Amino acid sequence: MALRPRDVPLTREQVAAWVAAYQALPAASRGNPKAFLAARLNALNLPDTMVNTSEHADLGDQTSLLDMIISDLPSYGIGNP
Amino acid sequence: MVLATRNADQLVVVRSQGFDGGVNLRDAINQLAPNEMRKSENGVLDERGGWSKRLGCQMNGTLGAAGDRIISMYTFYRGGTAPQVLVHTSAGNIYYTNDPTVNPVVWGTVASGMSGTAPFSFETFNGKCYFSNGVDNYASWDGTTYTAFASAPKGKYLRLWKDTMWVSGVTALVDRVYASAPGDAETYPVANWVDIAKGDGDTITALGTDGLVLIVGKRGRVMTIYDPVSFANRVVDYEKGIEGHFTIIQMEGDIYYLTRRGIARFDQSGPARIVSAKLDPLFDPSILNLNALTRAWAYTIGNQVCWAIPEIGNQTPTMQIEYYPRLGVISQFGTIGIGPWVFHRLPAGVFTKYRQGINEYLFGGHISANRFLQMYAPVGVDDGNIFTATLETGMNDFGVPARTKYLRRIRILGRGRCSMSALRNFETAIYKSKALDMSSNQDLWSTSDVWGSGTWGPSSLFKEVIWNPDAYGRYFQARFTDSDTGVSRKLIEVGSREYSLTAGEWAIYMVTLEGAVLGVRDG
Repeated sequence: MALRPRDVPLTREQVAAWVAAYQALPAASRGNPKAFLAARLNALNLPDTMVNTSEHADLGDQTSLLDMIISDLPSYGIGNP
Repeated sequence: MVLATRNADQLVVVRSQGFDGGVNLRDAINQLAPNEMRKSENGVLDERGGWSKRLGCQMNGTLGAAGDRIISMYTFYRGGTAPQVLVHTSAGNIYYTNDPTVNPVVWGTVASGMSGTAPFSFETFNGKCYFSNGVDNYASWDGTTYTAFASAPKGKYLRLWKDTMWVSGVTALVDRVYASAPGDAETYPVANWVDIAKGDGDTITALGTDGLVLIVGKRGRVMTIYDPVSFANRVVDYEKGIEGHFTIIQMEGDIYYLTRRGIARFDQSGPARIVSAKLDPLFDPSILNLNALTRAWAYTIGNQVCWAIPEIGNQTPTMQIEYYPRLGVISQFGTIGIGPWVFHRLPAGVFTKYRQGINEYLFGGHISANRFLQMYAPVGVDDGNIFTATLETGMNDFGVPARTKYLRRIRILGRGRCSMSALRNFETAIYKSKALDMSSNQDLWSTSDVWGSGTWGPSSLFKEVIWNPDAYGRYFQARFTDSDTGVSRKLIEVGSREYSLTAGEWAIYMVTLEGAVLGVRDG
């Protein structure tokens, strides 16, 4: 069952730390940021978490948490991969 | 040259009908209603039908260096503790004061090294003041400690709604609105956002609320989020947007904001209604700097709601338009119509209202100096400088447009000192002028006075003066103006007690024209 957006047990603070960790990696070993973030979500047992986005006109009824984080990466100061 | 035979003189008396119609720029000069004005600058309509010069501005000290300007400000209310006023300057500093009423104000520093061009949006929640400007980190101030939240959305606009902080205006995500965790403005769940009209080519310019919905303004449209949990939203106005976050203001149950086509009154059920139609010609790119309307700033004072707006060639507000919602005509159904407007030229571009104890003040940041101002202070000058108030009526033809009139006598009911000019026949040149002295003597009799000299008590506040202009014309227009630096008073009768309040130097209540309708002339 998809979580309401406010109920997702993950904060921007945590993701900002992941982004900082990713950016601190040597460029050659960073890999795909999506895979990097997926691994972090997996570590928190949130790998397949879906978010209820039924009221988001541009999204489906449910959207994966990973896709929502990826979509919001510009707000953390890095470009959308 | 007289072409027609002169008819027998017809004596006429015409009386003004008050000025509560406000300024009308929209209608042709010959179409103005009797209670409307062509010009109204630096005057207030605080007595219905009357027109009074406004009070001035008093400097309460300076901030930072001479070149610094206040670009945003806010009053941080702190429950039982005295409120603080926070100001953000063009030097990138945020200052606070525990007492903005003293002169000079003592300022402390909240933070420095901030943007000097992006104004902060402020909100108070859970006993803290939160602020963000889209450039610097979202931050809080609890009255003593500044805390930055680097991971929070770095948005230009904040709005508190449903115990949640809403943020928008993040660079590169121009359609996105973020919500904090409910009841916690310092925690942002990672997926707690929604895109409003994503990719429509427009940009979110403002967040507002009427308590029931979150108003999301773009330049060309207005949407509302009506469910803070699911983010359910809809478009309420498909053809008008909101020009700036700081233009949204609430006054007596209505939300107003600046649109490209004037000031609009928000309607949750559909398109907003323009309430500034009489000022329509003002909203022209040749007059206003459309590119700087994001810096327009709304405030309230008394029963007035006002907007400071930049004119062409200026990046910061240079004049104010003031609306009187209570002076709208009341219909037989009990609904109130659109109220009148006037103009002001106050030397401030950003404002905050402050209430503490028995005091309530409006403070402003000077537009061309590093000065903190008390607006509408009991003084007759603006920060030491003379300011002029001007009232100009429409043209009056005595109801007989084709005939020449002889204007024999004008009676003016008012108070204070000003000058009156008569203009005629749609000409711009002044035809006749007279200085009016309707000031009242406030010399109270005391035991030290000698019998038979001096004045017993104050003379009447309201005076009627007579001017015999000996003027001819078909249309007459009256202009009142001044270059005075004093203040006057107005009386409020509370039953058997009379309160004397400081008021602007002069006021006009009624003008009575006595004349004769003559014959038809050529020209």
